[in-house]
Amino acid sequence: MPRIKRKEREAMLIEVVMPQLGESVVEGVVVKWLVEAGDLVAKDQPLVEISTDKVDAEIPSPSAGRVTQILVKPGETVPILEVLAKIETEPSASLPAPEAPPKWDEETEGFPGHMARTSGPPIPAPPRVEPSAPAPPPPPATGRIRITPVVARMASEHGLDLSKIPGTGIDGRVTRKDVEGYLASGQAPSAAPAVARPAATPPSSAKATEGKPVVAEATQAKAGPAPKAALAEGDQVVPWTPIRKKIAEHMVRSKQISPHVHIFAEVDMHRVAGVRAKEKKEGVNLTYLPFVIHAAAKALRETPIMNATVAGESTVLKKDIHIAVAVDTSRGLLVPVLRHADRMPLKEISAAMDDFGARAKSGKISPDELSGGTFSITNPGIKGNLFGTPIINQPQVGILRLGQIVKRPVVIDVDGEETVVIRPMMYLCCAYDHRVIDGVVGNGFLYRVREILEAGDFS
Amino acid sequence: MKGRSVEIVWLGEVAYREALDLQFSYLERRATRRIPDTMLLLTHPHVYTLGRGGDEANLLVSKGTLASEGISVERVGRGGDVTYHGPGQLVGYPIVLMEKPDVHKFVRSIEAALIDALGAFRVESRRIEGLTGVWAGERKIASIGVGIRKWVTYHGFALNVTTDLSRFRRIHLCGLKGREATSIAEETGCAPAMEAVRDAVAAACNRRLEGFA
Repeated sequence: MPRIKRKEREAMLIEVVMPQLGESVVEGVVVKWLVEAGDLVAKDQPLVEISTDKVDAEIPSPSAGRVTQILVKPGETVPILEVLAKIETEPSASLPAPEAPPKWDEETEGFPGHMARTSGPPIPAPPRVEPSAPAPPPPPATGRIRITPVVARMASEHGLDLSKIPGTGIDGRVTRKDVEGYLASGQAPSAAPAVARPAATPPSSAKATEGKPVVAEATQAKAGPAPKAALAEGDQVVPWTPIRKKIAEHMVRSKQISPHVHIFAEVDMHRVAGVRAKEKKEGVNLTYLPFVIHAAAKALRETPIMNATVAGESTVLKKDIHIAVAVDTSRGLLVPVLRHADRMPLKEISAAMDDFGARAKSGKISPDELSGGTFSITNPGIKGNLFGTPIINQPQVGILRLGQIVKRPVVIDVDGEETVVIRPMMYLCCAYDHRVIDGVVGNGFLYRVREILEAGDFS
Repeated sequence: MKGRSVEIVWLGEVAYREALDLQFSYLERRATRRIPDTMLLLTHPHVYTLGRGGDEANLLVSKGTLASEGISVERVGRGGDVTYHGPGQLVGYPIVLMEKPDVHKFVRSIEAALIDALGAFRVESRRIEGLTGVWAGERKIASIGVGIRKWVTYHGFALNVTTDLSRFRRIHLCGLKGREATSIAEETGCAPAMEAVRDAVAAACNRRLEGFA
């Protein structure tokens, strides 16, 4: 804890000491200084990394001000309570400090996730184990309000907006008594305690037995104090399921990280249709998807950079071709991976896709089957519309999307004569990551997929 | 209001870097008291991580070989040397605000929680004085490495459930040459479901970490 010395009327000198990180901890090692003498620091800005035999810790600045002295060198072992540095607070520094950008480890610099965090919006809350449990309440609006930890915790537990509570403490601070009084007065929103367990909300069990989902109860608790925005009568608030949150997070991240280029090929599928018809006579039902997977795998083998992942500032060209295929299930979008798709005959691809489809419906796809993809294909099916622009499945660099197959009159060349014929046509969209792939290669890849499909040779 | 316990969040499989970002996101929110103490439970895809002082010589396989298998090597701002994470391993990242920090007690509480949970699967485990982690006999079944930033803990533990132990033979485990890793499956001969272990660990953490700060 800081020892405070009054230096003159306004400025104060604060000593930053080696904290006691536990009863049995007597010393710590200074690992690295994160600031230099002379630096201006914000309150809570990390000053120094220390290390004990059990943990590493960053010591935040007890106050805003200027670092006047650094007294211990990196590598030195220091007993607890010994002074590490001195900070002079500025007269203006007694105001709440602006949120200083945290000083991250340089090891994390340059990774996409990290960049997304510092420059983009905050990472959305990930899925929780109990979707029916209420989420933490919104942060109390503590703009200028200074409160004690006890009050903060009470506010958090009861979902209170402290700006709404009249404070009787110093400078109008909201005290514990104020909060207790406010709660007793019944003005507080009837939000469930933030950490309530399902067992702690008995009314819901009665409702649940009447066939109403317990989720509705939690929804009210969550939506109650939060956005007082335009909720008209009859509007429904549907909280995201864990899988929905995961999809949302994944999609936003991909759009932030990868500059997507979308290109389209118009593919004449009549030879594919011919092969399908022939197989059908032999009792084998093939959809169009396995043909596209087969063609993509072949083209990927010829265009290694499309079969790649991004790690930091490197591209990893993958040896194996594992194609992730999006499958829509009742639980949401799943993307099982077809391993070594380039080594599989068409019928094997088809059988594997049928198997995935069946098991996805019954929820029996193992996590191992959902990871390790090196390229993705999405097929929105017979109602998939003419074309769409898919989002890259990170950390991959490319994805194909099948459009609806529609019979159209097209002009072809027969013995030097131009003729109009009816053909099953498909728009095939390819998205590629322009960080890694440039136009010539990206276009060449999609062109090649088209060539393979139009040639109709799937042996 | 009393008996403040730890929120358990199950994330499924999350890439190492992504999980690190998530920890910092939670940590920021915990430091500003916008969320309660939280335990993130998850698994990682194959990855080797090196601590700040980690020696690449403790990786017995070249980074190129690993890269060709799609396995990344990450250098992390934690203490300690090299370790492995991958499928079949339950990873826990406690995001706990330490109002009165006692890091020894905290690490001991995590060890105790894991020993409790392992007991439920008939694995007898223990601490070894001077070494952090949980041990079944002389073999390490769970590693622990905790960091603190803004008085909030991050990083945490990795418990081997059905981990492919050959992955550990490609490193000198946490710099301790000759020490071996083990797993619940290895110790008992049967592979419990990750979900069952997750639930046991969650319950034990709730008991042992409750009202910690």
